[in-house]
Amino acid sequence: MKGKKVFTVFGALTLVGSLAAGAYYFIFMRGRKPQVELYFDDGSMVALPADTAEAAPFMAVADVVLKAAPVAE
Amino acid sequence: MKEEVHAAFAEMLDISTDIDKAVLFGPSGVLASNMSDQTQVVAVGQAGEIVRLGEARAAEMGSQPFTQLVVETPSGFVFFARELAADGMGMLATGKKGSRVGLVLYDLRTCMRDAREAMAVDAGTGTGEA
Repeated sequence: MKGKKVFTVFGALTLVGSLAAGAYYFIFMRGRKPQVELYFDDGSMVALPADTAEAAPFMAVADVVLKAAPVAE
Repeated sequence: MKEEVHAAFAEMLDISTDIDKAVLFGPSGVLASNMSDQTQVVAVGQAGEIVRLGEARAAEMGSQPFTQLVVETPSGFVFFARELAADGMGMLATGKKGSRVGLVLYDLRTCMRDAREAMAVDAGTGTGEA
């Protein structure tokens, strides 16, 4: 009887944890956020979040390009 | 401009459904493009700025030379790739939202490689433009 109760609690906790993880993924991780990716000759890559000072000059260049050549929907 | 270079460029646009506009250029100017003349000027100018910024970043980091760039914005993507040789080509492209970054970069590099091979064949047979 006690074992069954523990099993039920464990199942409920697992369900709640799974739902919480799913909600976190859906809210924070699902969409790619705007960013700048720089690739170098040895195959390495640096990703700069779009809202950082380091990414600002690259974002400005991209804005000029996309303003001149808007992407067709 | 050489027909083979245009063919390589057209093939890239056929294959890559994510690329919207692109310009392939070398030290002597634009080699192929599906942009208007005015937009080409802007794009090639901005590609020069990308190279300058990328090289500055590479120098700061002490890394290998800068070769490719992807910028994702809410209104689409900007892609850039270049050859590192002194007479190397470069390519700037715009991409739709949700573009497959790895595939687009691969297509840009493949196009430049095909264009390079076509130009080498022309140079070897003496049929290149003066």
